Parts: sequence; C-alpha cells; structure tokens
Amino acid sequence: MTRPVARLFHAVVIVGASLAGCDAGSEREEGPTPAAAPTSAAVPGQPTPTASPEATAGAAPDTEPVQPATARLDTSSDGGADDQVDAARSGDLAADAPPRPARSAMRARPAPTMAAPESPRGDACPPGSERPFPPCYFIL
Amino acid sequence: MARSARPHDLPDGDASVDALPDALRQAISQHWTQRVVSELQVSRTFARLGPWLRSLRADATVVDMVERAAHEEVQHAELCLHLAAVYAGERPPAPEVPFEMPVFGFEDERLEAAVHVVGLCCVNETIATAYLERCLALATTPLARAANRAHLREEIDHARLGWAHLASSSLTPDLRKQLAVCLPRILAANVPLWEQPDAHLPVDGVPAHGLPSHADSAETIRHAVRELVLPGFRHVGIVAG
Repeated sequence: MTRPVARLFHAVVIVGASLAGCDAGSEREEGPTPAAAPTSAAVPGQPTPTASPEATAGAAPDTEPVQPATARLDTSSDGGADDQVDAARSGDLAADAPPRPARSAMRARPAPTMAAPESPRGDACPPGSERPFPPCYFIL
Repeated sequence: MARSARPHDLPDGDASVDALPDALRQAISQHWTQRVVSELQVSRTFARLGPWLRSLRADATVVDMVERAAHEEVQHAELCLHLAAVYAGERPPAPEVPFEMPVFGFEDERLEAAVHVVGLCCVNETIATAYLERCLALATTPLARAANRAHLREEIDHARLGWAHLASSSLTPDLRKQLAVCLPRILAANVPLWEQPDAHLPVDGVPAHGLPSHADSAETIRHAVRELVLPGFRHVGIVAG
C-alpha cells in the first residue's frame, strides 16, 4: 500500500497546505480535487501532488447542499511515528457501547476518555514534565 | 434483507451480507453501530471548532470546511447506521452518544484550538484516510465498497483542512514552535487508540466486507503515521521537539 498512501499524502497534506485562499465551495462542486502547487508555507522541493485515485475515481462529491440529518439521528445532546506510535493508551467509554456478542472471538476494546488535564496548564510544554493530552475523537 | 434510508445512495441490501452467519452479521452490525457513535462525536467536535476558529480569525476557507465537516460527519453516521441495519436485518435504535470536548489546558486560545485541529484533523482524520483506503482496497462486496468510497471521499477533506490551517497565516511562527514541542504528546494521545482491537469483530476481520484484521489495521495505522502524518508536519514546518 506504499504507493496509494504516498498519493494520499500528496492529496491530503500538500493540497491541504495550499488551500488558504482557495474557494473550497466551488472546488467541491466541480468534482475531484485537483492537484495544487504548494504555497509559500510549504517546504520547497516537495513534488506536485496528485489525488488518490481510489478516493476520487468515479464519484464526484455531492453537489447538493449539506443538511444535518438530525431528524434521523440525535446529534443535539451534549454529555457535557515510530517510537511515538507505541506510546500512551487511554481509558474506557465502553459503558455506552452496544452489548457485545457472546463469541469467544470478540475482544474488548477500550475507548478514549476525554478527561481534561488537572494542572499545570500546558502552555510551557516543558519536554518530559508535562501531563498527557486527552485524545481527540476518531472514527473507530 | 433490511430496508432503511439510503445515505450516499448506498445499496439497500447485499446478497453477500445475507450469506453471512447470523452471529457474524450481528457482530458487524455492532461494529457499525459503534461507528455511528464515533462519527457523531467527531461531528460535535467539528461543530464546536467552527465558530471557535472563526472567532480566532482563522482562514475563512478552513472555517467553512470545518463547518461543512460537522454536517458531513452526521451523514457518515447515517451511512454507518444504514450498514448496521443491513447487517442486522433491521434498523437498530440510534445509540447514545457521550460527548465531552477534550481540554488541553492552554491559556492561549489560538494554541488550544490549534492542538484540537492537529489532533482531530492532522492526526486522526489523516489516519482515517489511510484506514479507509485499506478498507476500500480489501472490500469486494458492493455495499462495503460503496460505503468506504463515500466515506473516504469526504474524510480526505477533513484531514486536508487541518493541514491547511497549519499552513495558513493564522499560525504565527511562535505557535508553530509550541505545536512542535507538543506534537509528541498529541501523537501519544491519539495514535494508540487506532491500534486497539475492535470490540465486536473477529481478530481476522472480515476483509471482503471492508473490515481488515487487527494486524492489518495496526500496520496500516503505523504506516500512515510514518508516511503521512509525520511527513505532513515536516511539510508545514512543524517538527516534533
């Protein structure tokens, strides 16, 4: 998967770094995102990006106005590399997960907690002495 | 075969789903039901970030994309609920969605918001694009291919907006330096979550249905961090301290 991911890198990172000043709305309605040259914020010498074919092939992005589907799903309630990859693990949201099937092959998966750091505040970020950050939400 | 709303024009059934053992169908349905929760949590985060970034005078294009992402994540939740219904044979009830906005504890609001963008978009949504690309590559069933393609198409923009924010003039050189120092903690908080086993699926996954094995998924995540996330930060001038 090296090559597709490399293409994705170009699509996500380099095109993303070029977006300031672009009209995202018109881009969306015209279909797959075209490659864009890096801006001055980008690192010199990076190659010109190309979009991932899997991501863009066939289906152009929706052209209809985006409407929240709150009538069907309740979205209103608020309850309120390398070596680094192997770092901290987090806590458990499993109380709200659906019942697990009674299968020996099913495994428990702790979910993130969103507890805020107590103190000190993180402004200084002194290496090695800071509390862990809470995780952000993600799609799995 | 379940009938339900058809977000993203997905098929409303799939013969390959009907052919699965009942227990596996229920397990996959529960996976997708959990994905409903995740998508709505991400949606709520985007919904909070939009007006916040606007108040901080972030780039208007980025703010517009954040606000659109909040809506698109709700649509992704609809997509996941649709799949949960197809696999279960009936539409499950919409799950409860616990939500609490993470707090990083910075007095500088621009830095606090930037850490949100980095964690949510540059790390998690970027990893998501690699994960979904892998799911799509494995999937052979029509429903799984359509669902992952639709999801991936929009997830790329959600990652892209984060990189756009980091590359924009909204970030001062001092903010970039502070983000670089904080980057190891951001990665440590988020990357391991992706490597945890799925609570509902067999360890070997269900590849034909776009669900990688745990080992495959973990390797995809590590590869994405090495080849996408870290090079991305270097690209926008943020190198981990």
